[in-house]
Amino acid sequence: MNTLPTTARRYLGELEAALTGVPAAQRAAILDDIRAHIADATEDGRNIDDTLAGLGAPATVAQEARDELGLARGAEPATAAARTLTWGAVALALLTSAFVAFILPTSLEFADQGSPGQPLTTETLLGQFGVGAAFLTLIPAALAVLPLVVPKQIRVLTAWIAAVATTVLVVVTGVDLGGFYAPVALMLWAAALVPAWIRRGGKVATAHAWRVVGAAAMLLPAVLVLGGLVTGTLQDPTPAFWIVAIVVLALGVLFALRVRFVDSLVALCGLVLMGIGVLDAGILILAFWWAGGIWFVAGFAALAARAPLGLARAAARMPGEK
Amino acid sequence: MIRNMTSEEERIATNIRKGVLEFCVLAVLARREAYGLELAQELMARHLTASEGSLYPLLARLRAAGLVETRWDTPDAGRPRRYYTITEAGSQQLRNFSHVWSTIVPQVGAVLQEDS
Repeated sequence: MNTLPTTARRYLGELEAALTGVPAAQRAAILDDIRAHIADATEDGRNIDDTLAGLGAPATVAQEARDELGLARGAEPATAAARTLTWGAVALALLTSAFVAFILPTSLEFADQGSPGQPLTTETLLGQFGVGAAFLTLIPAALAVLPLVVPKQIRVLTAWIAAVATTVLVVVTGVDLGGFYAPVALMLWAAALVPAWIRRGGKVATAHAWRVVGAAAMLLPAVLVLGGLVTGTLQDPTPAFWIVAIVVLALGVLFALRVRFVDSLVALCGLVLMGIGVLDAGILILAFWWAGGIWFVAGFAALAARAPLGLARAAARMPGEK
Repeated sequence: MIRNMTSEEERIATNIRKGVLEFCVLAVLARREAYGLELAQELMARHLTASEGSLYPLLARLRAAGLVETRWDTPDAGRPRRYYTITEAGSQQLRNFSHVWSTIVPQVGAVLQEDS
């Protein structure tokens, strides 16, 4: 409809974006009707701004559509997913800060000879550098919380900025403690990407592609360990090792296949892996932390993305056009 | 009857309209088929809705529920238009509403008079 003025086309664009979660047939019908409404009103000589004002804000119309069709009440799906994932990033950042400041030894140099896995210093960041340094560990949490506190209009932009800023921070300080914040950066990318995907219509094909990427990232550590077995770097695997390896591979494949309940299980496994890293991994601490982080973010992001899709599917199907 | 309402009156009116709008749409369509803007203008003129945009999500639901259906009118000149028509199920629903309404309205009127 190129004959429509720019303001009208912008209105329809915003409405289309806001109608996420509404089944395709109803979404198309509402958009068609409102496009025709605007064209008819303009033909009748009505002022375009008055016509658009009379229709109400796109977000309001979209919310009414969701209410009428018995879809998600309350928050709009993209916003809800963004909020869930951003809160996940904040929680992860706080957890990481607590770990980095209070538990982790500041020096990760390990004795090459003698007793492996025994750090040379057991002093924590808080003990060695004081409260000021401990506060510095909260910077990623502050970045993660930004998208939740800024005004609504710049929330989407801020989500991307937070993801980029945290990634830069992780890369720049990666050799020191920054590397432990990599899962936080990953979660912030999910908090920007998942809502963007929902706003663009939540295409199932794209979701499958992302799942496969997630599964590949999840399986990477396991593949590396198995590679170590083949090349002889890692020797004499125990039966327990084989059980864990098989469970991990199976979970990865089930995750890629979008089997129900696997998402929560994957997120939970991620937390357990990170916990093992903290408690009992010796020099492999960062490897466990990253592997666990990837699992946690993949599972959590899949859960956050799944909710609006499920609601859309549950909606009544529309009878065909007569 | 229509004068400028206070915000409290506006809130009450909004709640009541919300409950009756779909039946008013059915009632208009029971008289004659109509396209979107016609319906919107009639409802606005009667002050039955405050926002024209509310009509289209409502029509989508009525259609999904099989209470109305649509047909395309393709004139020789000009744009094709989607007309809404009431179905048999829609007419039945309108009769149900009409029955309920005719019992509620006198009772509300009576109780208000007893009150004052």
